[in-house]
Amino acid sequence: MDRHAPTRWTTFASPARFDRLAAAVARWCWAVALVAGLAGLYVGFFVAPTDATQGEAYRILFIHVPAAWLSMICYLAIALWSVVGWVFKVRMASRLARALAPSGALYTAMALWTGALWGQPTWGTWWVWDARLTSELILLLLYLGYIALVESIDDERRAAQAGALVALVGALNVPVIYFSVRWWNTLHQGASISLTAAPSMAQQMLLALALCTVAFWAHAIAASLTRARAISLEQEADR
Amino acid sequence: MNVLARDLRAAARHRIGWLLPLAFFVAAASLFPLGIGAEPALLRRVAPGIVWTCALLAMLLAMHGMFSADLADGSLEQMLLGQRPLTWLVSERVFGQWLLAGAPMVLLAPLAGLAFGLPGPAVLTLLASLLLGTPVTALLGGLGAALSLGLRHGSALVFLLVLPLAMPTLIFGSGAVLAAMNGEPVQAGLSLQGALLILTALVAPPLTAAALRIAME
Amino acid sequence: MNELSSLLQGHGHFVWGAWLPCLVLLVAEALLVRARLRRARADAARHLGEESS
Repeated sequence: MDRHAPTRWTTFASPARFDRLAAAVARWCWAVALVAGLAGLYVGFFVAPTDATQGEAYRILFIHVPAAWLSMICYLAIALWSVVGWVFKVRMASRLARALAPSGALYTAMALWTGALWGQPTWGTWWVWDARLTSELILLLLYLGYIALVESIDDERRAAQAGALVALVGALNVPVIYFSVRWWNTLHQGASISLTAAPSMAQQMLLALALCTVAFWAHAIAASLTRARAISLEQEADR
Repeated sequence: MNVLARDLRAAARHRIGWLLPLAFFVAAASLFPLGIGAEPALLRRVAPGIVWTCALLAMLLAMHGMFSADLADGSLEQMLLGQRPLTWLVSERVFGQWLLAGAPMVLLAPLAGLAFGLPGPAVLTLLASLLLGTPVTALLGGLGAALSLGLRHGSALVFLLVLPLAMPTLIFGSGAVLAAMNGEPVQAGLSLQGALLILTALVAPPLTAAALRIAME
Repeated sequence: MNELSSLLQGHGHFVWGAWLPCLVLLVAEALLVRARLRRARADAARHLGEESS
């Protein structure tokens, strides 16, 4: 059944082909992550100037912002790939969704951690219940729920389908949750507390942010593709 | 099969089943004055959130095993194979469970409100917000129960899955009561809850039915 | 180096308290996920070996 047709994306539904593609892409992405990360670190700490209002503390945003972005993107990717896997019955898509979850959860936790540490110098407390951070916390719970459910089900097909349902419900709920948290924020504090606003960005700051964002993306892609390869092998062994 | 009638008859025979979550509600709510002190002004301020949180947790406690009994005695398979659409059966089940767990809580809540020193208008708003919010929790609880059917740690899973989804209705509900306490209009919170109820009532039962099919394949 | 020392004074410990754990976690995740893949491949190879023997 070896078709020498030009590469259609559906050929990567085959675990073997996915494995080869994933290996190549991941290798490249690890390299990009390393280079962009080191460059971003350098620019972020040694080139970008001190901020007028926040001093040095603002440099946390070089991790906080990409981590928060990736945490949301990964969740949407989980919803997308698991629904693709469910509707088109592509096992590899479900495995990719499953592989994204631990990385996404990690980035969410990092966004929360750095957010808290950013709030401390400016607000004086270790946690700020602002709308964005609280939404990130709820997102972390959604991730944990997804992971807990999928890991509790032994049958791969049931796990994939249940996971798709949970991810879909979660993704649909995210706007509702975000809206309700913002409503809650204004309700309880009058003038809404919001986490330190990003400083108006000098060019070098933007460069550092861009480099760190690229590094995060590359890391996320490499880690989840590698994990997907591992999951695929593990699941095949269990069948 | 008439799921609703069956459930109500079974509950009438086995009263402990539906009294337990209510007892939990009372016990949990009582923890807070013990924990944070009985200063009336403080209790009054935190009452909406506390009553709402305890009601939410008690509802989930009542809902998390919604389908386990049917799984055990084989009637779940009958429901899947039967002629009546599964979505409808699910709706009946959720409604029945709400009647047994949610409705009594709505009736109990004013007592809790008074115990925390809530003023009259706030107690009425509390009643309304629970009336709108407990069905949402019941619907979400049913979805969670169906997803984690038969799994080990199923009950903990239901809580983890459903609590984030139930946060909006908690926010709107307790927010409405807070508004009532401050003399502000309550329409905002209550209408948001109403909208959420309609949305959930339309979306949750079919998804729950799908989850049941996934669990039973 | 001037930047570094001014960093470590003032708000520096927050910055490092935020950055260092995150960098460590990112590197750790990369290493762990590669180790998981290696383990999975070793197990798969072993299974194939057992099946054919």
